Amino acid sequence: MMLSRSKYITVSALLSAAGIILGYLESFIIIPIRVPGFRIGFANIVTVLSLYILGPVYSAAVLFIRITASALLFGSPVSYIYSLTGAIAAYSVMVLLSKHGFSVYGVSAAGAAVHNIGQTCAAYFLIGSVYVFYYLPALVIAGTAAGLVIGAVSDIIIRKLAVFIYNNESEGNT
Amino acid sequence: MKKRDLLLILIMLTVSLLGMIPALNSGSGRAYVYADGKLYGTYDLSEPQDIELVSRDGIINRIRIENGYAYMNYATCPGRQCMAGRISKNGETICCAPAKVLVVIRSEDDTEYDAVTE
Repeated sequence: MMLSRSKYITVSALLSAAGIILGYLESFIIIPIRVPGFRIGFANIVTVLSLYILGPVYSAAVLFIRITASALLFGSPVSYIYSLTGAIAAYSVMVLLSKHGFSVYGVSAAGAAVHNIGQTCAAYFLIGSVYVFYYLPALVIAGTAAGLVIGAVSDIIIRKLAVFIYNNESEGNT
Repeated sequence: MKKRDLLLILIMLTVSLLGMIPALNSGSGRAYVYADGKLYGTYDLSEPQDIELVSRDGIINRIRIENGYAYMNYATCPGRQCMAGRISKNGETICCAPAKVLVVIRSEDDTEYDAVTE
């Protein structure tokens, strides 16, 4: 079933707003594990959700809006570069995997891992030292675990949310 | 979860674990503090002290060294991820990406890394 254009835009806006808040809330949580740069990536729930509910084009917009708005509200130009590099790398892989029959779990875990790889590469170019790669393997493992959790959460939400959105749509049309 | 998801995750974990092997060598030494890509100073891990840095964007980082460990004691960067964890072993790093601050532990006898960075 297809959604109307206005519904796409509304859901995109809602998900973007939810993503900004999730990212903001996460900045209050300092995870006490010895892997610098590690985050659970709550906002990634929104990316996975939008990818599965809205498709790659609208979810790319959701991702870009979320990152740009978050950077303008809470970040700095440097943090924007990091977010954007990680997001572009992760998103490309997520779209690719979702098109090749991987489930939310694989897409989310690989997205998280590639996000970390992308950010580490950005750190290498900005800081100019190979030391930043020291934690990459640990970061990828932690990211994969976090990605699986995010995947599980997204899986639950997608089932509920998709039914809700598509049901309302059919009622609106009749 | 599908079979291919599981396979993908297993591959990622295996590659990561293999990548961790070179990082296992240990031995304490000095903390090398880099700010904005340049060496700011080196500090003995056995001497307790605070090093305060202010980045070009006005981000304050305070690195504390005590009991053979170095850690980020205070930071005004947005994420404050640099404040998670402390380091003591050769090759371990703390990185505050927004402030472009990097703390690396290097042991005195380790010359391999010098060739890489300099």
